[in-house]
Amino acid sequence: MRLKTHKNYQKLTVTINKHFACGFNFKIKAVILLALATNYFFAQDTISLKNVEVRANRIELSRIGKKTETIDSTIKQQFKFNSIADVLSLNTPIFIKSYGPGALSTTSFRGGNASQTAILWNGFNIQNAMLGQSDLSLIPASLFENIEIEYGGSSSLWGSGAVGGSIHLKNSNLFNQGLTTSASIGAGSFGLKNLSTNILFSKSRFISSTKVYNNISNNNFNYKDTTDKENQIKQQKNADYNFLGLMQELKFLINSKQILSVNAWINSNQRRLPSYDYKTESKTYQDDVASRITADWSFINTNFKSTIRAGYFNDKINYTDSLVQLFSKSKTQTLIAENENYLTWNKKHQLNFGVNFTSSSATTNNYASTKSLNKLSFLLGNKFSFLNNKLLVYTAARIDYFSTGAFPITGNVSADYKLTKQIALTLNGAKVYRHPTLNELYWLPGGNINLKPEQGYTQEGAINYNRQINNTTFFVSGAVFNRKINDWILWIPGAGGNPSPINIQQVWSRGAETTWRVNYIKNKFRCAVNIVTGYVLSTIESNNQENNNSVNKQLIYTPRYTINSNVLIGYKKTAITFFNQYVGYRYTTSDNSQWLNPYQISSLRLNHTINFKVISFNVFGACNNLFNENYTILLGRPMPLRNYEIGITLQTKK
Amino acid sequence: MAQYNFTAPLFFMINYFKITLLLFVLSSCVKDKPQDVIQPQVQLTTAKKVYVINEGNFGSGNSSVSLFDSGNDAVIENFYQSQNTSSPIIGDVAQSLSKINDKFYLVVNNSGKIIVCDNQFKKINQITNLSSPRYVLPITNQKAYVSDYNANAINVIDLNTNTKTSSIPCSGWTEKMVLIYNKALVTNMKRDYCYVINTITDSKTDSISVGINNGSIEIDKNDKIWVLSGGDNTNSILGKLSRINPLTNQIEQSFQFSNNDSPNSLCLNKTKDTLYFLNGGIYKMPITSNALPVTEFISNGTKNFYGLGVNPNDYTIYAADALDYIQKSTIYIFGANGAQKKYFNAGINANGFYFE
Repeated sequence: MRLKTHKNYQKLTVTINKHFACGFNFKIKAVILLALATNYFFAQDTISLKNVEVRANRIELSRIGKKTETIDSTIKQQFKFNSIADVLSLNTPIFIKSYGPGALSTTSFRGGNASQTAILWNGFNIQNAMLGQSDLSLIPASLFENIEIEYGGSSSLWGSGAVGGSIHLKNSNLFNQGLTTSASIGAGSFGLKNLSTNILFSKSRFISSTKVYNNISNNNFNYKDTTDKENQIKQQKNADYNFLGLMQELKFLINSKQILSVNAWINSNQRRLPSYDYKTESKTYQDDVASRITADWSFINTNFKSTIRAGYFNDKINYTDSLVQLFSKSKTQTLIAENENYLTWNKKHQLNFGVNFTSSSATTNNYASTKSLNKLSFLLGNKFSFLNNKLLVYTAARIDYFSTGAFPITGNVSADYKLTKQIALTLNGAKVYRHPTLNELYWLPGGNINLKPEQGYTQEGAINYNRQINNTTFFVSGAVFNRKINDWILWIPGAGGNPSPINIQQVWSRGAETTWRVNYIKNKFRCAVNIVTGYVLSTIESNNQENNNSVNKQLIYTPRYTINSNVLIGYKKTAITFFNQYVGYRYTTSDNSQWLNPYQISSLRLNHTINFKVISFNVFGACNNLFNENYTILLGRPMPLRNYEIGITLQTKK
Repeated sequence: MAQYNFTAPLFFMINYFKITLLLFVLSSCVKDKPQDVIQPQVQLTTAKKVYVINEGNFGSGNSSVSLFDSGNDAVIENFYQSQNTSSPIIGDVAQSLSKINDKFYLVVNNSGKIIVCDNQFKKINQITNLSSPRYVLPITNQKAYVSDYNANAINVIDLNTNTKTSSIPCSGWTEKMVLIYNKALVTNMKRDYCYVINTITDSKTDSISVGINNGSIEIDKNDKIWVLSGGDNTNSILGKLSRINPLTNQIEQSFQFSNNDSPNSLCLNKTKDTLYFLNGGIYKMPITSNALPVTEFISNGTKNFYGLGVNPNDYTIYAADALDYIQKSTIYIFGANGAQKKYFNAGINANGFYFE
C-alpha cells in the first residue's frame, strides 16, 4: 500500500483498526498510529501493511491491565547517539540514577531500585545475574526500533525483578522490504564521536539486520564547584569511554506457519572512572564485555502458537584500580531455555502456558568458588474477552523453583476495559518478587545464603482518554499504584561485624503519574506537546534496627516529583523538539537528614531530512543543558554544563 | 454474550474521570521542600570535649566532625561546618583526628589531604600532596608520620611548614601507629607484618609478624605493644591479638580468634590495663588475661558498631553505630560497667573519636 496524502493517513487509521482484529487495545493503537503517522511524515514514504505480524505473545498479555508507553519514533530519532538512559530520563517518569555521561546509569521505577526493574531484550531479561541490574548507559537507543515501557509489576510473566516495571527493547522488522542501508556519524562536545551503521536486508522469507556502533568520548567536561570560591569551574578527568558493539538479527519465514529468528548482540565497553575534585587522582577503569545470543522458533496455526526459545548471555566485568592494587574480575554466564504456548480454545478465551529453565553461574575473586543459581518456572494463564471485546481480563499464575530452595508463587489478575470509544480503564493486581542476586548470596565476606526473595503485592490502575478532533489527537492518562514489598534486602552487619545482606525492611511505594499528549497534524505540519509527571512516595515501613531513623522516610535517591515535558514542531522533513525536565528533592540519607536540591534542565533537539530518489540524508543536532544549569543527579557526581551534539545519517533504500 | 447498554453510567464515569484528573493535578502542588533542621544554639562548657570523626559516604564528599560536650551533654553535629562557615566542606572520607601542638589535624582520606585547624577548629592550613592518608603520628614538635592506604610509604610531614618532606617506603596499606623508644610501630592491613621504623633515621628497621589486616595498636601501662590483626575470612585466615616487647621487637604472647571473627578497633582504658575491641559486639580483656574473652562485654544486638573509643578521662566507652551506613550514626556511651548511659546522633559513618 502506497500512501501519499493525508487523506490516506486517515484511511490507514481505518485499515489498522480493522487489521488489529479486535481493534480493542486502543492505547496500543494510539501508539501505533502515532508511530506510523510520524514515520509517514518524517521517515518513510511507503508503509506496507501486508505482513504486519498479529501475534499472540507475552508482551501483549503483559500489557493487559497496565499502563504502557512507547517512545515516539520522531523523538527516538532525535536520540540517535544516546543511550536508553537518556531517552527514558527525558520521556518517562522513571528516575535514572546516573553517575554522569557514559557512567553507570540505573533505574528507579515507581519507587523501586535498579534490580526491581526488568530490562527485556526480545523478551529475555538481560539483568546481570551477579548484580541484578543493567547499566543503561551501555545500551544505545538506536539499536531498537521500539522501546516500550510497561508500568507496574508482572513477575508472573517476566519472573524475578519485574516489580516496579519493565522495559522492553525490540525490533520487529517486516519481510519483503528490500535493502535499506544507513550510516550515521556524529560528534559533540568533550570529544564525543559516534559512528553507527545499519544494514537491513528484507526478502520475502528472510531478514537480516546488522548494526554496528561505536561511541567514544573524552568526557572531560567542565562543571561548577560552588564550594570552591577561587576555582569554581573544574574539569572532569579520567572519564573517557569507548563503547563498541554489534547486533545481528536474522529472521527466517520457514513456511506460512513457522518463523525462526536468531539474534546476537556483542559489545565491549571500556571506560575510566573519574576522580572528581575530592580526590587527587584516579587510575580506575572498567571493562564491560557482553555477548548475548538468542534463538526463537515459533509455530503459528489458526488457534495455536508455540514458541521454543533459548538464550545464552555472557557478561564480563573487569574493574581495575592500580592505585590501590585492586583487580576485580567477574564473569557471569546465563543460559535460558523456554517454551511457551498460546491456545485460542474458544472465541473468547486464549490459554497460555509455558516452562522456563534459567541457569546462571558466576566466577569472581570475591566468591569462594564458582557459584550458580538455577531456576525452573511454570506459567499458566488465560485471557478472557467479554462484552464484544470491550473487557479483556488476563489472569496468570507462576511458580519458580530455585536451586536455593526458594519457590516464590506469583500471579496476577489484570483487566482492560474500554468504557467508551474514548475512555479506557486498566487495572492490575499482582504478586511480585525479586530473588536475591548471586552477590547477595555468595559475596565474601558477608554473602547470605539464607536470604529469602523480596516479595509483595502491587495494585495499579490507569484511566486513559483518547480523542481525535479534526487534525488534533488528545491523549490524557492518569495512573495510580500501590505496592508493599516485604523482606526488602539491605546490607547491614552480620556476625563478626562484616556487612551482610538480610531481609530486614518493608517498603511501601505508592504514587500517581499523568501523561498529557496533544498531537496536531495538518498537511505537512505537526505539533505535539507531551507532559509526563510522576509522584512517588516510597517509604520504609519497618526496620528492626534499634534507633534506626529511616522508618516512614522516603527511600534515598527516589525523587517525589518528576516532570518531563516536550514540545515538538515538525514541518515537512524538519522536526525540532524542546525538552524540559524537573526532578525534585532526592534524599541522600535514609533518615532524610541530607538531600540534593531539585534541578530543572532543558535541551533542544532537531533533525532534518533531505530526500533524494534512493538516498536520504538526516541531519541531527542537539544542545543539552540549554540554560547552563549546574546540577548533580547523585551526590558528588557533577553533570556537564551546556554541551552540543551534531550528526548526519545517510540512508539508501532499494 | 448479552449486550449491555453502557450509556447510563457514562455520564457519571466521565465526571469521575475529570475529578480524578483534577486530583492528579492537585497532588502535584504538595510542597516537596524538606524541612531544614535548625541547629540549636549550644553554650559549650569548660568540660573536656569529645570529637566524633564521621567518614560520610565514599565518593560523596559528605564527611563531618561532631562535637560532644560532656559538661552539658550538648552535641554539635556539624562542628567543623559551624566553625568554618565560609568553607564548610571537609572533603571525601574524614578518617582520623589528632591534636598536635594545640592544633587539630583532620585527615581526609579520599581527598588526599590533612586539614590543619586551630584549637577552635577553624581551618588555618592544609597539607596536600598525600595519596590516601589515614593517621598522623607526631614524632617531634616539628615532624610527624602519616600512614597511607596506597602510597606504599609512610609520608613524613613538617608540622611547621605543613608540607610533605619525605617518605619512608613501606609496602601495603599502613594504618594506625605508635611511638616508643625512638621507634614507630606501623600496622598494615595488607601485609602480615607490623613494621618498625627508626624515627631518628626515618628508615624501616624491622618487621614483626602479627597477621594480615593488622590495623589497631596500643601501648599498655607496662610499655608493651598490643596489635590486633583482623584475619581474612575470605581465605580462612584467623585474626590474632599479639603482645610485642618493643625493646626486642619480639612477640611475647599471641591469642588466636575463631573462624568468622573480624576483630578490630583495639583500645585501651585510662589506666592502660584493660583492652577493648570490636568483634560485632564490644569485648573487654585485661592485659594480664591468659585467653581471649569468650563472651562479649556489651552485645551489639541489631547495632552496627563501626567505631570504638575509650575516654581516657573517665573510663566511659564510646561506640559508634553506623546503622545502614546511609544515615546519621548513633553514638552510644557506656559506663565502665558496660551499662548504657546515653546516646546521641553524629554524622554519617562515625568511625572514631578524639578525646580531649
